[in-house]
Parts: sequence; structure tokens; C-alpha cells
Amino acid sequence: MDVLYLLWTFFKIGACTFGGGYAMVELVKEQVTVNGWMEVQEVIDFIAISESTPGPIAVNMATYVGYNVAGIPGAIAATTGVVLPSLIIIMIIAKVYKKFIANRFVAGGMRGLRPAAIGLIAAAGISIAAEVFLPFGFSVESILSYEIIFTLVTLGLCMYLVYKKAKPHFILILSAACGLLWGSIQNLFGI
Amino acid sequence: MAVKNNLFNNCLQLFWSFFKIGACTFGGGAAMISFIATEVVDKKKWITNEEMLDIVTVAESTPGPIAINTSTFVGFRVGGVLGSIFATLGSVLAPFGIMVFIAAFFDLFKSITLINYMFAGVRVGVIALIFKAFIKMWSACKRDAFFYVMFALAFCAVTFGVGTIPVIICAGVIGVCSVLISLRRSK
Repeated sequence: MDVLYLLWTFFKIGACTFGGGYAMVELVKEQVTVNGWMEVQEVIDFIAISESTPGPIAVNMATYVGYNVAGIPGAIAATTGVVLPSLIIIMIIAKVYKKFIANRFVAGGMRGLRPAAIGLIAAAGISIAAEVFLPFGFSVESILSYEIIFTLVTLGLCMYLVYKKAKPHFILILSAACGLLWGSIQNLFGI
Repeated sequence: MAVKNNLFNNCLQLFWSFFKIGACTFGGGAAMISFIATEVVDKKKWITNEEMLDIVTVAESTPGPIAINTSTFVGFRVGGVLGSIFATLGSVLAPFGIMVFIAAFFDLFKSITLINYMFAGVRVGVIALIFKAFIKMWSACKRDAFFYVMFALAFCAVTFGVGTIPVIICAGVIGVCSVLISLRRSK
């Protein structure tokens, strides 16, 4: 039953993914947290893992979650589910794709979907930032902590790399180094 | 019989090509597409450059991860339904294996203190990555009033707890309706 439910959930995710990659982070985050399969923090860690391993995020996520919920059969079910809508839809339109591209309703649909996908990325970014900056919710202590300074400095450095158009893995390496440094400082001085 | 053999051969080749593509592309869909183009247009000459552009356009305007849509489509052009299944299977197999491996050992991995320190930093880096993706998509779009309204609506709806799937469906429907309205006006 778990396996079928995984298949269905990831089928929905595959069928509602437009714009690829980060546009579906919000969708996946919602689905896996609603079902209690992952915590928000795990999803954030997972984005980093997915960025440093081959394959599309959606597929990586499906395999990972599927395996955690129901082992290898779960991984197979979830991955099949996320890929199935692509297979079905492409097979249907492959013969008439010229007409499909030229269709004004397809163009219209995309005109609505594209800004929505960007809105979803923005929403994912803000909710993830909130989770990272204030993991224990909003309070005076959490605003005035060393953690916040560390987070701000790291984010500043990473944003500088974004501004310099660095490759994603450089951003990940830099942020990991910052984390390592900060963790060691905390450990040594017991802050 | 000869035709059958040929099809089987094509399917194996598709599988192998896409297996390499799936195993070697880091950084998600966009990186994968340029890799696919090199392999199937330049090396294998299965499809023309122009066709490839069309395929990517279709992949972008149909649901599903863009890289998977592209694999499926190229597979279909080369070997029909079987070809599309083999191409998709090929592109998914390597990431699948790697992810199962990671999932199996992740808890063990995370019990190492230094790894935990690194992940505390990496979580901040992920915010920057999302921002980067946002900027990229934002600047690639033609931004008119309709764009801003749809963007704001989707953002607010999701932030205030409307599910992601209804938001996506509504956005598509509104887009289609906008075409209907402009058609009616021009009559």
C-alpha cells in the first residue's frame, strides 16, 4: 500500500512540475512534509546533495524518499511515478509536436505557468531562509544570537559568489567550509 | 526480422547513451540538456539541431522534469515507444543507484560531527542556490503586467497555505483563459 501511495504521490509531483529544477522544490517540500516523510531541514540538506550528484532533483528526491519509506521497492515505485507523466505525455504529443508548439492555448498556459513557477521558487526560498535563520521560531534570543551572525556572513559570501556567477558547487563548497569553521569555533570556545 | 534486430540495437544504444548522460551530468536539468544535445545531435546524429530545439521547447512546456522529457522525446524519435522507455530508463538508472546508496548510508554519515558542521553551512548555501535559480528564471522571462500579477498571486497563495498543486493548475487555466479572452476581444 505504501508503495502504491508513493507511486501516486510522485506521479502527482511529476505531473505538476513545470519549469524544472528549483521550480518544483516547493511542490516536493510540501508533499514530503505533509506525508511526514521528511523534515524541512532534511529537504534543505537534500537540495545540496542533489546538486552535488548527477540527475534531475525530482528524480533524486523520488528515489531517496522512496527508499527511506519502503526500501528498494519504494525507491522503484517513487522513481517510476515521477517519470511516468513525462513518458505518457511525450508519447501522446510526439507525433504532433509541431502543432503542439504552435498552439496558442499551449503558449497561453505557459504564459500563466511561468510566472507561477517563479513565484513558487520565491516562496520556497523565503520559507527555507526562515527555516535556516530561525529554526526555533521567532524570538528576541534567536535574533540576537551568534548563530544569526554566522548565517548572515555565510549568506553574504555565498551571495557574492552568485553575483560573480560562480558554479553551484563552488557555492556549496564555500558554505560547507564556513559551516566547518563555525562549528569548530563553537566547539573550541563553547559558545 | 532485420527490422526487429535494428530496433533492439537502437534501443540498446539509446539506453547506453542516456545512461552516460544520466551518470555524468551534475547540476540538474539545464546541464543535462546541453549534454544530451552533444550526444544525440553531434555524435550519434540521431536528430538534427533544429529538431533538438523543438524538443527542448516541448520539454519545457509539458509537465515533468525537463531532462526526463527530453530523454523521453529523443528516445521516441529514434525508437518509438520502446525507444522512449529505454532512453528514460537509461537516464534515470545512474542517479537511482547513487541515491539508493546515499539513502542507505546517510544516517551513518550524519552521525559524524564534522559532517554536521558542514551541513549547517550548506543549508545557508542552499538559500543562495535558490536565489540564483530565481534570478536566472526571472531575467529569462518577458515581464509584463500579467507576469507580475501571476507571480504575486502564486507567491502569496503558496506562502499563505494554498497547496502547490491547486496553484499550478489555476495558473495554467488562467493562462489559457487569457488567450480565450483576447480571442473574443479581437473578434
